[in-house]
Order: sequence, then C-alpha cells, then structure tokens
Amino acid sequence: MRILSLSLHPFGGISNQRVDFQPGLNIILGPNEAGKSTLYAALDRVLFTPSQLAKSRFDKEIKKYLPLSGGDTLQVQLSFEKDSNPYRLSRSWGARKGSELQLPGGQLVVEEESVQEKLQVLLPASEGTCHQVLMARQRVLHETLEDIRNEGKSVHLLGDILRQAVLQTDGISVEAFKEKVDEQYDEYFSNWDESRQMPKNGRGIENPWKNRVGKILAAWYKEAAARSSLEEGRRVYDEYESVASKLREIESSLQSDAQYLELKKEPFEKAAQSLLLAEKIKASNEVIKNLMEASRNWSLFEEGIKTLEATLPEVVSNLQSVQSEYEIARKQSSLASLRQKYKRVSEKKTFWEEAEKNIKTLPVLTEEEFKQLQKLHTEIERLKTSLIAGKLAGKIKVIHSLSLEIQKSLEGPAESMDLAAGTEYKLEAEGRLVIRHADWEMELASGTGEYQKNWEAYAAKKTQWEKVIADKGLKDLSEAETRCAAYRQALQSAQNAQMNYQQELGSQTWEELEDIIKSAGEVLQVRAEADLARESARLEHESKTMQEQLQQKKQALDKLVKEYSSSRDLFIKTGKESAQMDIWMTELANLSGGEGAGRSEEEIIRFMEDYKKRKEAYDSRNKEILELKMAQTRLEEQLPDESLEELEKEVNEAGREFQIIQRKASALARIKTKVQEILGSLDLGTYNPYLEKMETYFSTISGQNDKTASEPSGNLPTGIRRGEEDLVIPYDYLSTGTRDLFGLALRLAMADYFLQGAEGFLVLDDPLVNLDPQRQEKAARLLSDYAQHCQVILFTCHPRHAEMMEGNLIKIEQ
Amino acid sequence: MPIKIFHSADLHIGLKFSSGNYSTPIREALKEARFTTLSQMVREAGKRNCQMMAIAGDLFDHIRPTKLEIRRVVQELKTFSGDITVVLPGNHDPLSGDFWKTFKDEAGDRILLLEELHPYDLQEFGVKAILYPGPCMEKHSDPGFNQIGWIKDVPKGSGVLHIGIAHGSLEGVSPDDDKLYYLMTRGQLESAGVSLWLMGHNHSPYPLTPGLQDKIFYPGSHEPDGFNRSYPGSAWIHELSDEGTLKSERLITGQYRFLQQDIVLEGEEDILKLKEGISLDWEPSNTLLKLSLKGRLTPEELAETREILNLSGKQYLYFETDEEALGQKITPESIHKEFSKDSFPHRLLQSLSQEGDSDGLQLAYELLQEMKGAR
Repeated sequence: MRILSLSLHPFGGISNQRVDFQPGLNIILGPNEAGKSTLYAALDRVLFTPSQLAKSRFDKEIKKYLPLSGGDTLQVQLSFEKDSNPYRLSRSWGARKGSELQLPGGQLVVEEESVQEKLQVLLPASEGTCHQVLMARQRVLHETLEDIRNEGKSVHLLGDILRQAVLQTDGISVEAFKEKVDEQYDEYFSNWDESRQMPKNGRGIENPWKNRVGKILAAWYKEAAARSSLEEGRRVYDEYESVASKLREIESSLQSDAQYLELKKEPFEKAAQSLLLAEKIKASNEVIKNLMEASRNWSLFEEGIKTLEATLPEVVSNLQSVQSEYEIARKQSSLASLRQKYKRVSEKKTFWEEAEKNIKTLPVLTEEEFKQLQKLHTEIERLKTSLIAGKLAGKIKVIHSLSLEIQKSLEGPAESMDLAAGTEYKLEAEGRLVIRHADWEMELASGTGEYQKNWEAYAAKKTQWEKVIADKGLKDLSEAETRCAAYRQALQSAQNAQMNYQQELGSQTWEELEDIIKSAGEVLQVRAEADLARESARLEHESKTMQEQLQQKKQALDKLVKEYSSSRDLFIKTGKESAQMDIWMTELANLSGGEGAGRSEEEIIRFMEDYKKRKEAYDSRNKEILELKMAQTRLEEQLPDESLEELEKEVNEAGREFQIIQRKASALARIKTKVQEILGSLDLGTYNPYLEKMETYFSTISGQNDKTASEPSGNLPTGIRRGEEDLVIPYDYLSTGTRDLFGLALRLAMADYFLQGAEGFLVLDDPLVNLDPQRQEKAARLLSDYAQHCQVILFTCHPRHAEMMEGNLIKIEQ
Repeated sequence: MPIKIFHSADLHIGLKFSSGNYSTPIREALKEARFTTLSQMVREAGKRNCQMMAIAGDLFDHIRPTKLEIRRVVQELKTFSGDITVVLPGNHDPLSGDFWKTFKDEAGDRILLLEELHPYDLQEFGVKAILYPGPCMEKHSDPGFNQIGWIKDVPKGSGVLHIGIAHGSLEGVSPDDDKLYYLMTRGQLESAGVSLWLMGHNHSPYPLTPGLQDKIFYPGSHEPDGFNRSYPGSAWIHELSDEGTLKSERLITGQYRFLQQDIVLEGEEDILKLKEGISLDWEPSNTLLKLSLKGRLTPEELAETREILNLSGKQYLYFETDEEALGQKITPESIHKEFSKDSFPHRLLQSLSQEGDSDGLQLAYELLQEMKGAR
C-alpha cells in the first residue's frame, strides 16, 4: 500500500485540506500546533477506525476531532494504491457516519464490515503492526529500548535487541510480563500443593498456614471450614435426632406402663396392706402362744422348785455316806497291793545279795587288766616277728679243725660243734647267728642296725610279760581271757539283780516300804470298791442333776418375773395381745375384695412382685428419659445457629469460589508455561538479515565504522556488542542523543522485518531532532535512501531538517 | 356454612441469610420481613373473614429460636381475629424441639399446636371441621416414611368438614431423592378421606393455577428466601363449602423478591437492550437481583456494559452479577488488530487462541491490558 493523498473535510482543526504524497520520501513540515498531529490522526482513523462506533470508542477516538467551529460530522478521504491499482477510502463519523471504499474498477464497498475486510488485505501489515511499528511515534521505540537496557544485562547482542524490540513492539516488556505472571502465580499457588490438590505439607484447617496463604489455599480453607461446619452441624443434628427419637420411643413405650401402674396402684397398696396385716396377725399369734406358754411354765417352775428343794438334801446325805465307805474300801485295796509288792521286793533283794557274794569268790581280772595283757602280748609278738624276719645262710670251710658254739635262733640254746679240717659246714639261722670260738665271738644279724634295739625291747617286754603272768597265776593269754570273761559275767549278773530290785521298789526305799507294811495293821471288811464307786457316782449325778434343774427353774422363773413382773401381769398382757389381734383380723376382713379377692397369698405376692418390677422398670426408664432430655438440651445448645440448608449453601458457594479460583489459577499456570515455550522457541537466525541492515543503517548515520569499543562503566550497560565479534557499540552513544540514531536504525530494520519486501509506508515523527548536524545529514541521507524502497512520511517542525532531505515537501501552515 | 382458611407455611422465622454476600442491613431487612409479612398475613386473614389460620410447618427455621422470636410470632398470631390458629411442626421446627414448650406456654387458648397423630375437632372453637395432622417429629424421616398413614383408617363422620394438614415432600413435585422429608404420594393423600390438604415444605407455591379437582395445596414461603426460588412470597385462602366444594385463591404476600436472570451479551445490540433496563414485575427497591452474564464483548463494549450495570444496579435492594462467563472478545483478528505481528503479546495470545484455551486467553489478555494501562 502506498498513500497517494489524504483529505480532511473537516477533521480536528482542519476544515478542509488535501495532502498529496509521493512514492518516496514525503516531508510534512509545519510549526508546532500547525496540524501535523491532526494529519497523522486523520491517516490513522481513516485506516483503522470504523464509522459505526460504540459511544465509548467514539468518545475516545473521534470526539476530540469534531470541528471546533461547530459541526457534528468528521470526514476523511484517503487515496492509495496497491500493486499500482488505485483505491479510495472515505470515512465519516458523527451525525452522518459511513465508510466507503472505491475499488480499482470503480466499484464501491459501503458495508462497514466489508470495508474492514478489504482493508485488512490491502494494509501493508496488520493493524497492530501498523500502529506499533509503521506508524509508531518514535517515543514508543525509545521506551522499548529503555526497557531492554533496564533489564540489567551488561552487554546486549544486537540480535537480542532486535528480537526484544520486535517482541516488545507493543510496549509490553516480556520480562515485566513474566514477573507479573510469576507474581500472580505465587499469589494463587502459595503454599498449595497442586499435584496433590491440597495444602502444602497437608496442613488442613486444623493446622493452617498463617503466612503466604495463596488464593487457592485461602479458598480451599474457606470451603474446608464451611464443610467442617456443615459436617459438625450434621453430626449434632443426627445425634440430636437420635436422642429425640429414642426419647420419643421410650416415652411412647412408657404410656402403657403408666396406665397399668395407675390402674393397679390401689390394688397393689391394698394387697401390700393385707399382707402386712396377715404378717402382724401371724406375729401376734406367735406372741399369744408364747405368753400362754410362759403362763403355763410359771406354775411348772414354781412346783418343780418346791419338789427339788424337798428331795435334794436326802440325796446329798446318801451320797456323803457312800463316799465315806468308798474311801475306806479304796485304802484297803491299796494296802493289799503294797503287801504283794513287799514280797516281790524281798525276793529280788535276796537274789541280788547272792550275786554279790558270788563275785567275791572269783579271781579278779578286770577288763582293763585283760586289755593291758593283750596289748603287751601283741607288742612282744610284733617285736619277735621283726627279729626273725631276715633269714641268714652261709657255709664254713674248715681249714683247720676247731670247736665252735653256734646259736641259730633268737632264744634257742647255742649248739656246740666240732668241725673237722677240710669239711664244709652249711649254716642257716633266723635273723641272728652267733658263732663263738674260744678266741672270738661272731654275731651276724640280718637287716639294719635296729636289730639290737629291737632285741632289747623284745627282751624287756618278754620279762614284763612273764612277771605279770606269774603275778596273776595265769598260764597264758587264753587263760587270762577266760578268767576275764567269767569275772565280767558275774559282775553283770549282780548288776541285773540290783536293777530288778530297784525297779520293783520304785521310788520308795526298802525302809519306807518295810515301815508301811509293819504299821498297816489288820484288814477291814467293807463293800467292794467298784460297787461303792458306782453307787457314789450315781448319787453324785442325781444330786448334780437335781441342783441344775433347780438352778434352771429358778433362772427361768426369774426371767419370767423380769419380763412380766408377775403371773397376773402376764395374764393381762395375754388378754391385750388377743384383743389387738382381733382388731387386725377385722381390718383384714375389711380389706378383702378387689385385687386380692379370691386370690391366694401366693398369687397376691406374685401380683405385687410383678407390679414392683414394672414400677422399677418404669422408674428406671423415667430416669433414662431425664438423662436423654439433659443430653437433648446439651445438643440443642451445640446446634449451629444456621440451618443445615444454609450451611449447605455456604459450602456450595465456597466450593464454587474455589473452582473459579482454581480455574483461573490453572489458566495462569498455562500462561506461565506458554511464556516459557514462546521464549524458548524463538530462533535468533530469523533476524539475521534485518540485523545486517540495522548495522548498516546504524553505521551510516553514526559513522562508527572504526569499530572502537569503550570500557564498561558503572552499573549501566557497557555497550552493545555486534554478534560474537569484538565490536562493542558503547552505551555512551545511546545516552548522548545517539540513542535516537540507534532507535531510527532499529525502526528502519523493524519496518523491513515486518514489511518483508511488501509495498508499504513508514510514518516517522521528527526523527532528526536530537541528532547533531553531522549525524542529521547522515540520517537524512539514510532516510532518502530508505525511501527508495519504502514510502516514508516524515513529520517535522524543523525547516532545516526538511531541507536536508530530498523528497516531497508538504508545508502545513498554521 | 362454608369455612375460610388462611393457609401459610414455611415462614422460617429466624432464618439468618448467612450464605450469600448480603450486607448486614440487607440481611437484617430480610430477617425482619419474615415477621412483618406474617403480621400482614394475619391482618389480611382477618380482613378476609377467615375462621382459621393454618401454618403447615416450618413456622420457625430451626429448633432453637430465641424466646424473643417465639414471643413475637405468638403475639402476631394472637392478633388473628378469626376463631383459631393451628400450627403444625415441620421438619425445620419438629416436635423434638424443646422450644415448643415455650411456644405453648405463650400461645394461649386460641393457638393450637398440632402435635398428636389424632383428629383435632375444631368445633369447640366454632369451626365446623376436624383436622387430621401429620406433624414432623424430627428433621428427617426414615426413608419413605410419612405421618399421614393413620388418617385413612379414622372413620369420617358427616356434618363436619375433614381437613388434612401435613408437612413434607410430594412425590413428583418436591425434590426428595433420598425420601427423607416425609415423602407423600398423591395417592396416599387422596385416599385419606379428607376434602382438603393444607401442605407445607415446598417453598414455591403449588399448584400455580388450581383446577377444580385440586385439593393438595402448598402455599410456598410467605417471603422468598433465596435466588433458587423466583416466586414471590405467597399464601392460600381456601373456602370450603359444607358439601366439600373448594375455592382457593393464591395471595402474593412477600415484600421482597429474589430474581435471577441469565443475560447473553454478544454485541452493541445486547448492550442497548441492557441499557433500556431489565424487565421486572417487582419493585426494584424490594428486589434482590442476580444477573448471570454470558458472552464475549470488545473492551469498549465490556466497559460500557459495566458502566450500565454499575448505574442500574443501584436501584435494587441487592444486586449481584456473575461475570464468570463474560469476557473480552478475543479473536485472531482482534489480536492482529491490537498487537503487532511477532510481538510477545501477539505470539502469546495467538498461541492460546489456537489451542482454544479460552480461560488462558482471557486472563493473558487482561494481564497484558493491565500492563499497557500501567505504562
């Protein structure tokens, strides 16, 4: 699309004006307030603002251009060509509104929507692109650059900047948007576990998060709290209903019991009374019976005492008499026994004395003496055995005849022997060999040197033995043993006899016994002791029994006296009790009829027990009712203030709120992901051709072909590096007015990017204003060159700028 | 001589309106209206020479009304100039509630609490009728259980009118899937041998236009209580002749009205209609209006819509809009129009649009607008 002309008739402060444009560079020159902005607005509105507008949009976009001089309609006409085909677009707003597009063949399109549709195709880019790039005010681009610079990177690649500039064409910083989304994401999802659809760390309403409660979590808590209230309400209601139901059930079941108890109350009381009276009568009968028996006993006791007191002395006297006789008989019997004992003791005494005499006739060899003899004999035998134990043997070779005396045994006699020369004589001896010659004596002994000592001991003992034997008149040890045994036996016999004697005598001495027997005198004649014992016992028993009976009767009589004072009083009491019993019997007779009528006592008792059981059950159920009513009151206090329906509504509302918030949060999460996707998918290579153009444009107007770089300074971006090469465009250039240069270069590159070779136009707003004269010229040349392939409409209020550029100069007069 | 009965139910005195976003004054006004409308009904019943005023359950909203609420209700009912007022316990104020004792203590001898499952002969009060009540014992019944089974077995003598009064759901009319609200069938009611059924439980009136054969009547709430019930508060006046011929008239009783409307907004034309005003058959200052808005509009249209709603909403007692389904009209064309090709907003919105992510698109657009606005 190339603009041919623009007519305003009227629009804003311009009542009627037509501006014609050339294909290349068009410079619209005019002082401030001359109407340049109006022209720009008219171009914008005729291209993009439909005639049919909502009031708000009309107010926003059109109203301010209504003619100041009056009038209610605005009209703009735009001629343009596309691919050399002419078009004419007319629009009017306000009272007489309408849109009309004349097509190359002269055909008119008047339907608003159709006009819009056609324009979409004819425009060099989308409406958004036109607004943001092709027709943008330079200020917008500067803001974008500021945003890029403020993102904090120290060095920006040109490709980055171009990409950022394209992305942020609409004036929205990607980073700021990301931050906003992240911030909102946090506002929604804070402390919310999305995967488990619950609060983080499972912290429900019983242990809720206090800080950083995101919107989802807050809504969840609200719903959970509402749900909890509802559940609690339902629980209490259910419990309340259960108690109420139970209460009603019990109360209903008690109705029949209450009726029964009411109906049977009087019969029960009467039955109870009659049972009580019957009991009293029974007791009274017993009392009367006892009184009568007491009365009977009274006289019996009196009579008995009298009889016993009369007979008892005689029995006692008889008893004493028999007891005396019995004592005598007992003494006689004891003396006879002593006499027999005396006889036995005498016999045993004699026998003992005989034994003693016998001992005295025997030679004495005591046991001790015998043991000493035995010991001495044993010692002698032991010594003898040791002396003869070594046998000696030898021979004598006789060279010269000689006489010898040879002793071969211990005590045997020495043998005299004459030994002839040249003979041999064999010798054998037991333990000791003594050879005596007239000139010498040789004694040979076996064993060690103890022999002599033993021999001496043996000889001494032997001598002692022979002396003792001789003293006792004994032959040998065997006789000693016989004598000792005889002596021992005699001693034993005497001891036995003495013992028998002592046993028979017992504790008495012989003299005492003898005295008793001598002083006993003659034997008396009485009845047999056993008969007397029996008679005495009988009388004693009889007496004792009679005394006891007397005692008992006296006590019983005393008791009666104590109880009744006198037999007369007893009689009176009996009379009174009988009269009382008569009264009760009359009362009982009066109670007959009703429940008890015709019933046995057993039946009445059964009825009463049944009544009591039902009454107890009734009372117990009433107690239960009381407890249930208390529980009901307690539960009633716990009931929620709102009805369950209202609580349900609250839960539903909270649930809906939660869903809405979750839905929005979910959308936010998708946006967050989408932003990442978009940024990740951008291909830097897309911008390469435009990047080169931008470098060219920038170099052309900046004259920075020497590719010098500045050092980083402070916290500001240090510069702009071109690609991976070493060219760094210093930030200084951007901060001292060259920023406009960079912006212009960027703008031209972006226009190239969006138009992509299509026929289009670029509207620029005083692009040279901040440049130094040298750069203004370069920029002017660049724009003139640029206008060779793209129509440029440049607004300026500086005549000098207009002069610098070669193009169609359109002057706007104030 | 025919008898005239003023038939109301489901007054729910004590309802707190705690759900919803009502302000405290509105909540208080709604609560108070339940008393004032009762008062008006009592006066109207007197003016119309009704002998009996019947409240067929749920006079109170819950089983813990305050003593003040009970006294106020009783005082209002005592002013009835007819012969007798009968009150049936409903499932919201069942007999298990201890408060009925207080109610009876206050009630005097011309307000009769129908608490027993037996006939109440009203002739001693000068009304030639016998009432057969089906009071609620608890909030819920056993599934499918109701309180009217006993009525059909009671012999009905002649020379007197036999009238049933019950509280619970009616099969096919009231929602009661679990059958926990003393569900009654038409057959059970019709075979009970009474000339008229004074019912309670449904908060909407039934039938809307009575036919000659109808004898089962729900008056609905005297004052509506929420947006799920759009009918105005109402009551019946039944006139029953000695022969049992019935004439019923529905009265509109309520002061306030809850109305809910779905409005589709797809362009300027719809906005114009909205601007012309929402057609209501109720005084706006006594109307609680909830609009569910649906549609996609341009930013300008959306702003205009909000402005209109903002202005018009002020005339209602309560005004609420649900804009969950209302959003910006964001199309590929509008994206092209507003954003330059390949810019970040363009790429983002186009991508979301292509994926059909309507929520994402709306939200992203709003965020972008906010950022643009902030510059």
